[in-house]
Amino acid sequence: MEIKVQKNIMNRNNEIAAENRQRFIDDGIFTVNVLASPGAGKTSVLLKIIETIDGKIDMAILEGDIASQIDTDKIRKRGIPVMQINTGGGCHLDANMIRVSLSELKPAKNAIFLIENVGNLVCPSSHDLGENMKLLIASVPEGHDKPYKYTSMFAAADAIILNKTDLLPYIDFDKEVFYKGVHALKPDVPVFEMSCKTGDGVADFVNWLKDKRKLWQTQHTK
Amino acid sequence: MHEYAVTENILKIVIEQAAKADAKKVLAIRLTIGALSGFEQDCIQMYYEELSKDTIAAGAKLIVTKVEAQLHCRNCDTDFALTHTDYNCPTCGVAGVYNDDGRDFMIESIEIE
Ligand SMILES: Nc1nc2c(ncn2[C@@H]2O[C@H](COP(=O)(O)OP(=O)(O)O)[C@@H](O)[C@H]2O)c(=O)[nH]1
Ligand SMILES: [Mg+2]
Ligand SMILES: [Zn+2]
Repeated sequence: MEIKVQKNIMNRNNEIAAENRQRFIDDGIFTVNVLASPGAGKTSVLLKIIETIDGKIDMAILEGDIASQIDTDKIRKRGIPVMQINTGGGCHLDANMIRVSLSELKPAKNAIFLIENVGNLVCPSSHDLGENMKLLIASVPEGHDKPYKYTSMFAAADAIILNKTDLLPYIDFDKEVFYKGVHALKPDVPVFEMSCKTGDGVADFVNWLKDKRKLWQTQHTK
Repeated sequence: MHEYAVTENILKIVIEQAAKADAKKVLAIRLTIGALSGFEQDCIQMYYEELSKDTIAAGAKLIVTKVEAQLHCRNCDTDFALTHTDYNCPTCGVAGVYNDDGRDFMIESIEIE
């Protein structure tokens, strides 16, 4: 006998993600899920955002990197609430990990909450955390073919940073090929070229992020 | 590997549904896996065999329907499979646009006795 089930396998994760999303709305917390391969510059970009953003905006950081405390220490030095999450060698964060860490991290009302996901261009794209946007960081040394290899990640991104542009003179990176792949998967996605080394492009991105947050707040909060 | 957690989840849903229907045994599970869902069929199969031991769903056959991801050509209006080499339309050569299919991962039905 056949029984119809028709259940999405990610249901449980998606339910918790929806609860997280509601909580972010209730507290006006704008949450960014930061995705990239290991070494693309997730932590460097977070540090640049912290440095550049208006001091009146509260921040909170959740670190999902597998191995070390190095990243958290760098950020704690700047006096921002930060917490390292232990994925036990796991390849991604899930919605429940976020829910649990929220009670310890306690981001301030109206804060910007940045989540550094585990360095991986595959698994994190299929796990909704309840975030308000997915920020994908690609970097020049990884090569221009990444939008053709990590399709689901590029298709899920709400904004993309192309980091390490200071290395363009040294690496055969064909921007045209890169942009073509990006826009096939997401025609209107904003792409920000950036160098965390020289600071190029940081201000443009941070201004865009602030506008995006403001727009979200007027749409979702009272 | 995240397939482990997902397989546990599949098994949990299947056993719940089978118990509700007073099943003695689960013979087969029909899944739909989108090409962009981020999950590997072989990997799920492997964990399934391990995790389902000693349950009423042990040895059930996993019947998987793959949903391919597609691109749409706005120039000549054809849909074509998203391949990982090139996103150009096979008919006219213009770059296609992803139409958002192929991300779901569903349990469609189970076969019980
Ligand atoms: N040349 C150059 N190096 C960078 C840039 N951004 C980050 N890096 C370096 O890349 C390495 C990895 O950066 P990190 O932020 O730790 O990457 P994560 O693993 O994604 O968090 C570090 O050695 C950084 O100093 C950049 O824009 N240009
Ligand atoms: Mg890092
Ligand atoms: Zn065409």
